[in-house]
Amino acid sequence: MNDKTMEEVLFKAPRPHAPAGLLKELQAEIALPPAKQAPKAREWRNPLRRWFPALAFGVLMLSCALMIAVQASWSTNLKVQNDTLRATTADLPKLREQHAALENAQANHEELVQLRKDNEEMHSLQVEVAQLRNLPARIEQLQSENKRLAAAPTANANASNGASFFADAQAEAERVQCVKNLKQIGLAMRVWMGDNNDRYPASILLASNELSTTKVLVCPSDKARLPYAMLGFGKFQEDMTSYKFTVKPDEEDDFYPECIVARCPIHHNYLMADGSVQSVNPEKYHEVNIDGRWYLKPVNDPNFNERLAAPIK
Amino acid sequence: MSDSADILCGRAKEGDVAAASELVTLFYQRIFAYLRRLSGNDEDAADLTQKTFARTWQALSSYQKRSSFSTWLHGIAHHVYLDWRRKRSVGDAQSDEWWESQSDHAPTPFETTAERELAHQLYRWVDELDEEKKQAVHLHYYQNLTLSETAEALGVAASTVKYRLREALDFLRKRSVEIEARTERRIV
Repeated sequence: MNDKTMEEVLFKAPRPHAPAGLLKELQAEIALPPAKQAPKAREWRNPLRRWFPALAFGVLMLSCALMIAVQASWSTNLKVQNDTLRATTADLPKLREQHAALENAQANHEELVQLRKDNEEMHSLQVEVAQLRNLPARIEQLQSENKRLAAAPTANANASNGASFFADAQAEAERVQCVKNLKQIGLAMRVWMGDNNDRYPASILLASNELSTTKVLVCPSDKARLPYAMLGFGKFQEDMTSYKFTVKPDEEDDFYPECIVARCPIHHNYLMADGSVQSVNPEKYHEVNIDGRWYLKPVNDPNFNERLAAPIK
Repeated sequence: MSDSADILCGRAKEGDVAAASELVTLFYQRIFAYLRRLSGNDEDAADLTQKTFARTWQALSSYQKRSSFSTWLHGIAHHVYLDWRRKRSVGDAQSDEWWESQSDHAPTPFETTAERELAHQLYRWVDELDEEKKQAVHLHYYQNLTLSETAEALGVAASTVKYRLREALDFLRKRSVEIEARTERRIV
């Protein structure tokens, strides 16, 4: 039996019949699934919901673009500021030089102002010095006046007033003390001259080391200057002394023994170049200046100049 | 028939019981015959036929018309038979009396007695085939499905069906040669 024959036989295989009643059973058992309901009417949807992704992306891109624009603007501003600062920095050395010059000018100005102040102060001090220089003459004048006034009542009460006796004794004691002061001054100057080529000191204060105290430089009758006698040599000034020094400094006055070295304007006591102290009556003697030197000249002595001894050499 | 079956199927999916009944009328004989040949008795065949249609109605909504309704239905019947076969150890070949009775009750295409005996012998050999080849023979030859329809019903490729059918024919040919050799020896 070949394949074709077999296939024909197989295709002709008997077909068994279904039993009666099977069809009805099958039809009775039909249980169809419920039909699918028609789709509901489409609900309204917000169109934005559908376009939300695109809108969100668009908003994102827009915000990014905005941020980029803002940053670009900031960057531009910063560049402009940077350029401005660089331009300013380029002028900085010049400005520094100008600043230094300005500071120097200010310093000079301040110094000038200070100098002006010092100058004004110096002027005021000069005025004060001038006033102080006039003061001893005034004091001397007042002392003379005082003495004159003091002498007047003494003469009137000479007979009966016992107080005048004590006043005379006091005046005599002061006069004697004044002579002693001049003696000591003469001795001190002599010692100083021995150490300085026999030249007079420019100021009595230069010979302060040869003096024991400042009291010898103040006449006890010079009441206005008595307080100066309490000062030490550290504070004692040249114009505080009661005595007037008439010798030329740095000159060998030793050669003129009759020359006046110093005098007391109150008591008219004179320290002579030979170291003596003479107490003279001003009515009988008066001071004369010969060749820049002062001498005591008797009032009634017309030959004084010829008689004046020539310097001893 | 295929077009009408598809139309009826569409109406049945919409819940038309009449259309479903019409489908049953169209296909229940073929399905019963297929299952009767496989199961070996009328009761099991009827039961399996009912299960096949019950499962068909359950799965009707999932039918996508990728194949014809007939093919899809044979596939369901095939799986119903396999499930039934797993539960029961069936596999006994049909008795010669059954095949003879089928020939006696129905008009047969075989004219001579010899041809009729040869056909019965051939049907019995088919039942001796292994399950896969037997299914291919039943669906292709007995149920008159095309190769592609058979393949879809079995869930295999068409080439596989071809291979199985060739193997089945080779087997049948060998058995036929053996029988002819025995007959010649008796005659000698």
